[in-house]
Amino acid sequence: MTDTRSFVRGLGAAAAVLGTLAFVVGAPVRPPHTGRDTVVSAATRDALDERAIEQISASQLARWIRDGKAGLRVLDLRDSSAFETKHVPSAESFALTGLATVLPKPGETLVLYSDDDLRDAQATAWLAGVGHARVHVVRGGMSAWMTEVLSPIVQGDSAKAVGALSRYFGGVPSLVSPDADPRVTSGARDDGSKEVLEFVARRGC
Amino acid sequence: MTAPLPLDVAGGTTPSLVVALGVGVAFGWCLERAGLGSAPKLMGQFTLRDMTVLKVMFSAIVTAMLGLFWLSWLGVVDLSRVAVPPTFIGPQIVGGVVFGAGMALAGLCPGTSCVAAATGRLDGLTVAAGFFAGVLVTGLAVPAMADFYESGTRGAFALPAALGVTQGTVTFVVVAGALTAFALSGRVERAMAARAARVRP
Repeated sequence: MTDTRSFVRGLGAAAAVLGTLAFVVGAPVRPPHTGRDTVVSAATRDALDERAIEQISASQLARWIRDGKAGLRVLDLRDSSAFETKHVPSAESFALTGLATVLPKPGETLVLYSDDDLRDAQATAWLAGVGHARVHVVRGGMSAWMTEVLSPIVQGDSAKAVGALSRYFGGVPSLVSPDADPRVTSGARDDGSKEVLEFVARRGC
Repeated sequence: MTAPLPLDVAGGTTPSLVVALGVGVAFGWCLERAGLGSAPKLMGQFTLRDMTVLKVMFSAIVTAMLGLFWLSWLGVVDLSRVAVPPTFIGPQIVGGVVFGAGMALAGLCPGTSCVAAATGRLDGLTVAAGFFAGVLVTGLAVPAMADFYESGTRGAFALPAALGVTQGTVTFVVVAGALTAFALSGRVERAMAARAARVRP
């Protein structure tokens, strides 16, 4: 009985030590010692602005790229063959296992996209866990980029701006009514995403 | 990161399911050994007379949390390959309330009901049948409530991101909370037992 109690107390003490060390260490990853700029110091971490992880639209990402948003870095989490087929301009191809090399930098804004919510979620959790302050996920992934940016349906007051943004990236905005074919207006990542890509591809975008 | 601990099972879905079955059986065995296949034992948590559930669950959480944190820090586990379910705030609040109400009514949760059923307890079989029926009904109802089902999505909205603190800070707070709860749980059990003794004629 006394032995069991001592064992349990020992486990509790070990947990307390490991928990306290976790607080001191901060992130569950050892910073590499390969250069001054890549080591995340406490001062650098303090300098990071407010943490925000949120979804953005493909149109928002397009505006950031067009406007040259400072510190923007776009990561494509799909497999390399999908990346080579088509990707968002300026995007870098990363497998999940390669994210450990993406180290936090002050003022940097990461934007992730793929065609898999779970992959986005895993990557976001990992990047936030190692100290990235601004991580955004493109709602709808590559499918949304194709439909919202490269082949948008333009109408109403926003038609001119949306059309100009689309043409900036070589897109072909359309004045077709959304009722004509619901597939072209869907940016949602659902079972029809492949169909949307194929449909858009058939239109020559 | 090159993590030596393989998290993927070679060979596709079938080997993965076999591994999942093995993990599930081991989990069930641990639950049964902890006494959590018994509904009265679980109900003891709600009446604060038996804090076993809190001790077992908090021990598991702290072990997993510290294990993943330090194994990742040592480069043994690649955390980016550990699945983090996406958050859907409204639907998960509703689901949590329904789950809690069902657990309080039945005295068993899905995992413990399977354990209870596997050990031949009739209440376990009944609750397991009930939650399988609930899963079926919910699945059939999803198309009708798709807008709500997918509302409030926040991606992998884990505590570090939600609170704006590091993973280490969250780990420390949870460990401290668990150790405090462990220290107090014995006193709570004794106090409730003394109170019951006074009430008893």
